[in-house]
Amino acid sequence: MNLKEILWELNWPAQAKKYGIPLWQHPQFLFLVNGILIILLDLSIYLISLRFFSPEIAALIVLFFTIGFLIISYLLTHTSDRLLEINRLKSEFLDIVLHEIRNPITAFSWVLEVLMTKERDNEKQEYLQILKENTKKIQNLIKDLVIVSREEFAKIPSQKSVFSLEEITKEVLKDFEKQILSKNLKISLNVSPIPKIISEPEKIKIVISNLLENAILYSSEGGKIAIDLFEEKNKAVFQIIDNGRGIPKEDQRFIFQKFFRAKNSKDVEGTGLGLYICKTILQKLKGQIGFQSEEGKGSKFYFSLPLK
Amino acid sequence: MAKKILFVEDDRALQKALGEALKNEGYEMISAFTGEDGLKMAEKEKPDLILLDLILPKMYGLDVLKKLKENFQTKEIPVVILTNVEKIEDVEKAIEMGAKGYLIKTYYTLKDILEKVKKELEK
Repeated sequence: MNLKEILWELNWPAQAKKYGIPLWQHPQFLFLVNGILIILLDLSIYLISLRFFSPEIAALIVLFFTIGFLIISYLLTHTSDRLLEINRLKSEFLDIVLHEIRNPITAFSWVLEVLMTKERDNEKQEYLQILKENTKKIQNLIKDLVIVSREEFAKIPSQKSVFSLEEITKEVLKDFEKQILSKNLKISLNVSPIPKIISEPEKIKIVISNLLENAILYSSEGGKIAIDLFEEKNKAVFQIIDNGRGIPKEDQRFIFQKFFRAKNSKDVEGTGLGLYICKTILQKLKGQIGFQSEEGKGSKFYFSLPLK
Repeated sequence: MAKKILFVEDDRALQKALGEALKNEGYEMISAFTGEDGLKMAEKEKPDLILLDLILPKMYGLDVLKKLKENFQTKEIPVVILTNVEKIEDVEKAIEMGAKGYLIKTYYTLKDILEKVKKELEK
C-alpha cells in the first residue's frame, strides 16, 4: 500500500463521514476501543488470578480469556463491517435503479396521455385510465423513494439557511389550493410571533406538505383544518389539526414506519412513506414530531424545531 | 405565426409524445436528438423556446446550455431544462447559466409541461 492508501485506512473520521455514520460506530475505531478494553480486562484478570493461583496458572487463565475476547471482538467487528458495506451497496443500488427507471416511466406516462386524448372508445378509455392511475402510483413511489434514499443515506453536509416558518407554510398552502377547494375544506392559519429559524427550508417544506396532504386526504368533504404556529420552550412549533377520520388505536404505534398504511386508509392513494420521511427529516434536523389521534374524531400532528 | 419549440432529447418516445401534444396546442416542434444537433437547430431555426434534457449522447445538457448562451445568435432564446436528473448542483448551475426553469420530467404530466410552455412563451 502506498502512503496515500495507508493514510486513508487510518483516517477513521473521514471514512465515518463517507459512510454517513458517527465515529463511534466505525468498525476500526470500535476495534481499537475493544483492544484497549481487552488489555484492561486481561490485567484485571491477571491480578485477581494471582491471589488464588501461581503466576504461571494466572497467565494461562489470562491467555484463555484473551482468546475468548478476541474471538468475540472479531465476530462483532466483522459483522459491523459487513453491515456497513451492505448499507452502502443498498443505497447505491437504490440510487441507480431510481435513476434508470425514471425515463421509461416518463415515456409510459406521456405516451399514455397522448393515447387518451386520441381514444374515442369509452371502454378503451377506461382501461387507459386504469393504466394512467397505476403509472401515477409508480411515479409517486419513485418520488418518495428518492426522498427516503436521500435522507437515509445522505453524505452531503446539509446547507442551512434562515427562513420564516410562516412563509413556507403559506407557500405549501398555495400548492395545495386546488385540493383544498375541491374538497371544500376550511383552513385556518394562526400564527404567533416566532423568530426566524436556521434550518433547511426545502426539507421542512416536504414535512409540512406531507402533513397537510394527509390532513386533506383523510378529511371528509367540508372538513376543517387548523394550522397553528407558535413558540414553546425555545422551539418553533407547527401544529395541524383536522376533524377527519383519525387513526385507529391499534395502528397508531406503526404510523411512522416505512410503507405502513393504517387499516382505514386503504381507499386513499398513498405510498406509506410520507410520515416516515417526516420523521427522518426531523431527526436529522434535531427536531421532533408527534401526534394525537382518535378514530372518527380527527388527528393532531405537530413538529418542533430548535430555535438558536 | 406558430411559435417554434426546440426539444433536445434523445429518447424517441418522449420526442413523439411531446411532439404530438405540442402540435395539438398549435405549436411547431423541432426535434434534436443530440446536443450538437440542438445547437445547430437553435442557430438555424431560431425557436421561441428550447426544452433541453441533460442526459444526451456525447454532450451533457449543461455544456449545450453554456454554448447556447455563448453564441450571440442563440443566447436570447429562453431555455427550460427538462430532465430526470435531480441533482441540486445541476439545478443551481443551470439557473446560474440563465435557464428559465428546471423541470423533473417524471413529476410532470404532458398537460403540466404544456402549461409551463405556454407561460414561458407569454413572457
